Amino acid sequence: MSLMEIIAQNLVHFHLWTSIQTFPKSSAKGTPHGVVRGVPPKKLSETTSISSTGETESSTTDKPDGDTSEEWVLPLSISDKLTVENIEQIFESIRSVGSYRPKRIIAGLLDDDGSVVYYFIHDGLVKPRS
Amino acid sequence: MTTTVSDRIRLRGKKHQMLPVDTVDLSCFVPHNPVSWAVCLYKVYAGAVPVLPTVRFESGNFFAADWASINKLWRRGFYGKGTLSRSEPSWFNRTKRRLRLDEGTELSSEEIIAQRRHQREEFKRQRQELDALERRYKLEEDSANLARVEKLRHALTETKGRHARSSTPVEEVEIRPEDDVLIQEGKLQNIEVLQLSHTETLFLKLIGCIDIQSEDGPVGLKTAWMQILGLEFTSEDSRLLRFIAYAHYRSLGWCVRSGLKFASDFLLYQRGPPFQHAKYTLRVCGVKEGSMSWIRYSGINRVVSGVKKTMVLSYVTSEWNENEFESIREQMECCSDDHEFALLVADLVSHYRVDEVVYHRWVANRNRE
Amino acid sequence: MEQEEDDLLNFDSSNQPDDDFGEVIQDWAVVAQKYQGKKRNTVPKRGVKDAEPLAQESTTYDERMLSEARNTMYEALSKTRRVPVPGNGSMDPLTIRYDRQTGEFYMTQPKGKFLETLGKTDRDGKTVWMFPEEAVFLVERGSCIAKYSDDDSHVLSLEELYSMAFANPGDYEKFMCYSHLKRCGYTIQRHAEYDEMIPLVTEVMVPVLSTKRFQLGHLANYLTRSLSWFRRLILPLVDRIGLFCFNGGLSRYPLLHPQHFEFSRYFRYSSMFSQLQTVFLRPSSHQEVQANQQTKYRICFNIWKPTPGFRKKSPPVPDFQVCVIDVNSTNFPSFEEVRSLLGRCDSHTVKKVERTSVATGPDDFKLKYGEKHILICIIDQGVMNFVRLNDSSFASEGLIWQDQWLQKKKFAPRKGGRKNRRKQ
Repeated sequence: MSLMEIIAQNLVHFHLWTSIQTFPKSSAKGTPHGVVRGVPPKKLSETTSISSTGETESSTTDKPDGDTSEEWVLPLSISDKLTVENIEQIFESIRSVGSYRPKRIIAGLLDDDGSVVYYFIHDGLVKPRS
Repeated sequence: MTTTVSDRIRLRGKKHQMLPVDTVDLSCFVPHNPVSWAVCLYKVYAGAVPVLPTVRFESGNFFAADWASINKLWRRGFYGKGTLSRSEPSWFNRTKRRLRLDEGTELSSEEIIAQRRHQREEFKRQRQELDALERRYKLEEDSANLARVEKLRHALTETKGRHARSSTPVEEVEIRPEDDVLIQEGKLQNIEVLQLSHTETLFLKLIGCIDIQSEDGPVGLKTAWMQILGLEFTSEDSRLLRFIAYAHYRSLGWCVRSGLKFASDFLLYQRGPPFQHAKYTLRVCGVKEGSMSWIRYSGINRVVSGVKKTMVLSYVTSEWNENEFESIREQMECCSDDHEFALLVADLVSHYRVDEVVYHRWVANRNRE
Repeated sequence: MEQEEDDLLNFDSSNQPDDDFGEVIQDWAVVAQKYQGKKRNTVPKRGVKDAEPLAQESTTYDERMLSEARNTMYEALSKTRRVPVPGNGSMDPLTIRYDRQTGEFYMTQPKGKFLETLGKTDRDGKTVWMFPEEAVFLVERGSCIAKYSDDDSHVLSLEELYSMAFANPGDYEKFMCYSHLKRCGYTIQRHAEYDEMIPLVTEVMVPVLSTKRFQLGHLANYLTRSLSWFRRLILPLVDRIGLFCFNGGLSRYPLLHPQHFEFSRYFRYSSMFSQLQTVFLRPSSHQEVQANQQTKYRICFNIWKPTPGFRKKSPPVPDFQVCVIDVNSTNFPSFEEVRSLLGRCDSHTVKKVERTSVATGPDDFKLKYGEKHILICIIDQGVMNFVRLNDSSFASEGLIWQDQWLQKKKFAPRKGGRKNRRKQ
């Protein structure tokens, strides 16, 4: 199984996500191992992003149909290194495969014992969770 | 990370050992009964039936897939991790229950955590309501009501965690297409395996406690070593140092598990995850590598002390000089016999020392008395 | 349980959330009150997270509160800083003299309770000599005023004092640490390393796990537990013979042979572990650590918790010792540096509360707090933080695994074995 498939399996059968779609790195250029799209069983916590003018907007997606429950997961191995530039490329790469630029992605980090830890990566500033 | 009390009691009832091999049980020995002597003698002669757990090696991962091996590795020292669970492989039972294919098994720790999460969400929802009220009264400059909201807020915070144990609402059984694929003739297919980390694999293989099988047949110690560390390592290779630290604490009888979630290399459990929380986190440090910045240390400490653990810096010092090290590395490269290779590894390891330094944050106001 | 233990011992008591820094946010209204004698508005407090960036929907209510509090701060800060001098009126103020030639601070006709813990009194008791940080601290908190030794007319301002007292780089940081701890109520004195040489070589004890003692300890445990005298004699004997025959001398497959476990007979897991320890544990010994004379990690101050009857001439062993460093020029110490520091310091960890219950596991206090400890005060552009480093030795705690865990019946808590071993 590739790293991406392991993460996808983890999402479907451990965290019970649905509608999983995988994009290998050949199509999602700039991602180290491809990218996974899916819907969590319960909507993940909403975040409020802060724009450069200091105004807040409450949304998780710019998706045309306004569906906010979809998330993008970026499979990573424990030895991968990411720069801010890489992250920018990844956001853009998701725009090209998913037709919109998400407000956040989730890094899924795989360790050599098979455990996966997930972290949000937000596109810009967000209000801290209370 | 968190197992509930009931969970721990459930697991405590089972026998846990620390190495996945058997001892000869002489508990049948009765001093004044010569027959028991004979039984014992026979037991000693016949020995424990040695069935080593089988570990499969596929695409860079080491894992156990059959229940016998999984149970042995998990219950005897808590090696490995269920790929679809937090630690103990519980996906099969969990999923059977979720899909109503099996009733009446006990709740796994994952499910108990889901219950708690539900309570926490309820708390957050109430807090949000208060936030909205507060905003309204601020806009209306209504200080009397603001004070009232503040009181309500205190009341809410105080009852936090004291909520009656509300059970998760019974949800409709929903068989997703993803689940359907796994059910054949009404029976769920297990897709979870127990994956061993690289350090665990090396340790268990080195002391001869597991059999490793790949598609091409048995995998010996040297092959496993080459897959994990290669043969180009230096005396300060961080993977080597991690392995040495792992073996050090394991041979002291600690249950050593991955500390990834706590920005650490390892967690040390006194007996194992079902019994109590890990009290210590280890960060393996090479002595020659430069130390990290103060910010990194204090960041790690924040995470570690946030979960009430003690942050231990475990320094692995090499006493090799480069020439000798190079020579043993070359011997390892040429060696073709597994036992000889194991002795070389033992020799390699014997030139390292492991020492500990403990890091705490210190606050003047709290240490006066 | 762990929490309770911490409370009793007063170390990092963990019932307080760690993100409360043990410090309180400065309430400027208190300062302003001193000047104006009336209570001012304060920033409404709830939690640290209450203050979020001013956003669109932020209310005038919030803004008004914030600006009022801010003005209070400005007002308080805009006032000239007066040092209230004691003895106004009939008595002369207590005066510290600064000798421009020698650069020394001293006080003649010494008076004041603060001298119980501070300064160095001459044999005749007529002069007290002070280190710069001591003099500045006293002036800053308003206990004394300072004058030149040869000019009685001019009272030195704080600015003048600072410029004279903190001439060397790092002096100011050390003063910050000094005055912070002083204000927290500690007794604090300079350590010899503040400006002297560091002892060249320190011997560091490396704790040893002795296999022999370890085995005997287990044997003893076994003996106390067994019921009949016969069992008591025979079982360990069988175990020893078995260990020798099957796993040691006579076995075809020595330890680390792939077939070792298949053809060996172990009766207890502890026997297996003791075999593993011969491979993975290093016997250690005394070691000498060369001190680096150029080291940035010098022990600057000795610190005592507030103790009645403290005598500055013959102080007891300090409770803490601190080494002050600037974060931006000094990294986290290397292992050698830490060892050298721990070897040089003489403050021992004191266990306040003896365990009431009989220990059944490792000595967690010892693992956590070690036997020696050193504080490092790290200063990042005026922000101060303390880190406590201590030694610890997991190897000297011996085997954590206990064979009795496998036995069904309940045992009396084990005693003896481990403790005795530690004393040796």
